[in-house]
Amino acid sequence: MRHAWISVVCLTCVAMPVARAADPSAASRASVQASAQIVDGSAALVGAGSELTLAAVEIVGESALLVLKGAQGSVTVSLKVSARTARVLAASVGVVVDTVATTAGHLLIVGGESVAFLLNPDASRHRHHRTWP
Amino acid sequence: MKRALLFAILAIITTSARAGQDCRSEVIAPVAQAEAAAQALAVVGRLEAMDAPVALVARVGTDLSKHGLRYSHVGFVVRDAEDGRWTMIHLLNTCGTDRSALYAEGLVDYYADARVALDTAVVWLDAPLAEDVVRVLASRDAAHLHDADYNVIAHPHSAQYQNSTAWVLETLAIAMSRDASPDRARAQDWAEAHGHRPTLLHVPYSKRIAGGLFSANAHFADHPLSARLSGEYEVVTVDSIFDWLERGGHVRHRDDLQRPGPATR
Repeated sequence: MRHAWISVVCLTCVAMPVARAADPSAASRASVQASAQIVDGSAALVGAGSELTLAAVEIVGESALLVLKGAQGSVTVSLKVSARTARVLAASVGVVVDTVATTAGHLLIVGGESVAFLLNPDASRHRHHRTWP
Repeated sequence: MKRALLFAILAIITTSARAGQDCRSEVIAPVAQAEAAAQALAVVGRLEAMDAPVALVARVGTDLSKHGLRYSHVGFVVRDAEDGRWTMIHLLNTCGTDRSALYAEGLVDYYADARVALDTAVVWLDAPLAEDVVRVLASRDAAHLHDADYNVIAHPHSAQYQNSTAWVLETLAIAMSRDASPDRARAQDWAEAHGHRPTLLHVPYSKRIAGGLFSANAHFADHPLSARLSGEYEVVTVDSIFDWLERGGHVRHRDDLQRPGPATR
């Protein structure tokens, strides 16, 4: 019986890496979601050095909205993010959101952690996906 | 005790069967997405600098280093296609199943699926071949060459299965031969007759047994008995395609863009 159990465990070990071991081509398995998309408000609000505050977090099903407020308080921008990201940020309403410019957009940072990435217009032009032809 | 063992075996088989069907949408980590998008823009910069309507772009989606290979996947990038300034046309396996589809996507999406590293190779074709490839893509002859029955380790002369590199090779062959009626077997024969040599991959027996049982997208029976006995499998790879083009004098220029930084998984 002991040998039978060892066989089961070994079978699992062998089965797991097999496809990758011989994989000469891509095996794309899932649609790849961006970590954040602006759905409302002024994109210009999000820029390097912007003073932003996390004003609200609204979770709806598998996605969620983050509402960021500018320094003046009157201008806001809403970002669609994953519910997972939103749950992490739910306790951070009112905190400062830092922005860091990168080659292709801006990273949003809360409490030292990167929580979302927004593509700039140059990079956004190269984001599309459909079956062909 | 026997019943417990049976349950354990059933649980493993059930889990493995599901593994081939995992198609959940994934959210990329922000820093990884920033790196992937930066690599996409770097490639766009190189493409814009060359006066060419099409190029081949390879990426690292799978770690093939134990086989002495760097790039695992390749597709055509086309200038001013209907979807955008630069559009990748390539074949992707559908969620680990035994099916595939052709996709048109932007370079930001292309590198978002670079699961091992963001390193990339761009190969520009000589002008006559580039024109022929554009013609084959625009006429949809390349689409007629697609076979949706996917095998990650498809034999270069397989009539039943195809993978992403095989589709690219067959498309190049049809373009070079200027064959008016696209046919997979003719494309495969033409590529071999004109110097394409597949890569020989060694897959140990233990992995072949497990692959046959548990992976929906790996069919080792696609290969001759001699290959199955020796474990040496002929496969079309990025390297075999690029070597073939180089030897045939069809490479106008090649750029390898290394990019340290996190892959997207």
